[in-house]
Amino acid sequence: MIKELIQYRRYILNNAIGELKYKYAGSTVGVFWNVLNPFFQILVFTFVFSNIIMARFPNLDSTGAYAIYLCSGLLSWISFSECINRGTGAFIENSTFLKKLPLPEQVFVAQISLSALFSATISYAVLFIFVLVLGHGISLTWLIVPVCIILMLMFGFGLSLMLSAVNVFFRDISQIVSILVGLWMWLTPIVYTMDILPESYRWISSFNPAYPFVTSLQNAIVFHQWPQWSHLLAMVLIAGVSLLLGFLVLFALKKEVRDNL
Amino acid sequence: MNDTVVTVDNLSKKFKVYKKPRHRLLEWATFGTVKRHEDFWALRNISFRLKKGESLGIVGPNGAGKSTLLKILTGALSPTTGSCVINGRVVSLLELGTGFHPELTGLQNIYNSTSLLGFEPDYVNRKLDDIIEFSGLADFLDKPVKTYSSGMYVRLAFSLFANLEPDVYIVDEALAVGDVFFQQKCYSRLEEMRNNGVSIILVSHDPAPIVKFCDHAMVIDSGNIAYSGNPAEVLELYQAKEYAKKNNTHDYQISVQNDNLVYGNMYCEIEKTKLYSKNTEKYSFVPGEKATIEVHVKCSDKIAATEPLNIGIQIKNRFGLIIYGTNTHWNNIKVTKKMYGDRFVCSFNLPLNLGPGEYTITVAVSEAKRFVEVVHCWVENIVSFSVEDTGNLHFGGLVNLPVEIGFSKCGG
Repeated sequence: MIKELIQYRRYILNNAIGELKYKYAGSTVGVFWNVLNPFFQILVFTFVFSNIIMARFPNLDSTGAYAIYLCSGLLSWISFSECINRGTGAFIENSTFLKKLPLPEQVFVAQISLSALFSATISYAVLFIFVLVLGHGISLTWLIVPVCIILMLMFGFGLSLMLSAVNVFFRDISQIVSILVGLWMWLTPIVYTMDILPESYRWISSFNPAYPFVTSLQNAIVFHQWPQWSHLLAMVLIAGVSLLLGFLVLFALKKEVRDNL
Repeated sequence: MNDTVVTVDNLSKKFKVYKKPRHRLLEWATFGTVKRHEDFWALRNISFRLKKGESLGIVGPNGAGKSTLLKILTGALSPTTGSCVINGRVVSLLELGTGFHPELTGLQNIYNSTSLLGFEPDYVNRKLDDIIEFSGLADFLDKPVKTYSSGMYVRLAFSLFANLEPDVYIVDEALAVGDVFFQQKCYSRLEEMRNNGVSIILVSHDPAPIVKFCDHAMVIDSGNIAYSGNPAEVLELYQAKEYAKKNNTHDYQISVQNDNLVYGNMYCEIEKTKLYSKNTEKYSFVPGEKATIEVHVKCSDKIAATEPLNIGIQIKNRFGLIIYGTNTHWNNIKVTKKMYGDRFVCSFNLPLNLGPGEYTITVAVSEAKRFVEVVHCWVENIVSFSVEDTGNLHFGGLVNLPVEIGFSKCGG
């Protein structure tokens, strides 16, 4: 199944780029919205949290530190949730192709995940510029950011493979998924920090598969810390297991998926 | 070298039909110990072979399983049992334009949809000039396809597919769109491809292209191959069956007598049909010769005395194409019981303004008002005749139309 992805790599790449390109087709600045969107998002967060709400980290005294903390987790979550939400509907959305062509199914999920990876890359590039402008300081630990994002979206890709196959039979899945992903975000320390959680609730994060990804990103960007070895291992395992399960589920349901589109 | 390109053996396709999604959930939850689905066999024991350069026509009513078969042939679906082996690449016109992205330009779409079909860009580069030339859209290739008219869309798509040179080519009704010139171009292109050794599978509701184009034909009905063989014969039989289906209240019979297909409720019988010219029976004519077609009919007393009859003839060429047809109803002749009695002869006098070739005559007797629905007796190809080439023809094509040629000087 991986072999097929390699075989169709060109098509996947073209379509992933195409999605970014044509998402804003017809608008005046077109492709630049891909940059402008995260730019204004980050700008608004920074302005609101450093000038209006005056959110401050107890142990970090830089202006906009909270906004940077928020963005470093939230931007990955935006791409991650887009990857899952759109990935779940991938087979239905592309049923015209699947009904008529002998294309491998996973191609369509891969294309969505890849385009989510691209938009995450753009968002973080914009965020880095902000961080520099705000004078928060550069660190070598930023080098781990692409690794975290790639692993997180591999996790998303695996989940999408499972969900998209099941969604063909039970079409409510895509709605349920979008609600659950929204809920999941609030269970993950993105908007809040772990410190404000009462001790008795902190155990939740150790069962939250998204936690190592988000916290590693925040640590690298905000606190200039390398990820803990346990988090790194967890990320690799979670991504790997989710990919394996995704391909297994798709392999088992493949024929019936085609019959039911 | 084995020149069999498509080998389909005992192919069957089963779909699981769940009345409600939760029935599937129940089956999953119980690991299949509880059965809640019904099996639907879309195809059963289909077997056929197609050699290099051969063409096969497939007809059948809606829902007979034609599309399922095509999807299995293209690889979009897999068979439940049996096998479908194709030596080479399949391209299907089912996919006509499905790979097109409205925002991409024509040129970008050419590359994008060929990569969907698994062709390398190098391959497309070599074919690009031919594709553009064939489509006649050179001026529009840098415009997004969303600005194309639907005709242009089909043009681009067909040009693309027509130049890919697959080993097996599947064509369905998609060709019915586009203007008549382009359609002609498509069919001559298909012929060219077939001569180059491409095998073609043509699916259509319209018998004409299948009769004209295919070496074999088969009818699929309720998932089975109902019959297969010579296209003209198969299609006649198919149409007869379709008539019969529409009239399930009448006792229709379909049989083959002296190699001719005969069907109808047999309330009357066409005994024979004879051809005359100047009172001598003959079956070979020169173009334009006056001929008389005599239809001999015997009636049974099952025919309602009140219903007038309709007697019709059709002249078909050697491809099975109907060149001409007429009947008493269209000529406003009321054939009442008084006129015909138990036995009668109905004669059609007409000049055979036909090009040289072999022809057959099909005759039918039916109810006048409902001459399509209530067929008493229909005999396909009851008699054949030829029109000889006299060597001094003054027309070309299938028929000779009365022509008057005028001249007038312009300008000056």
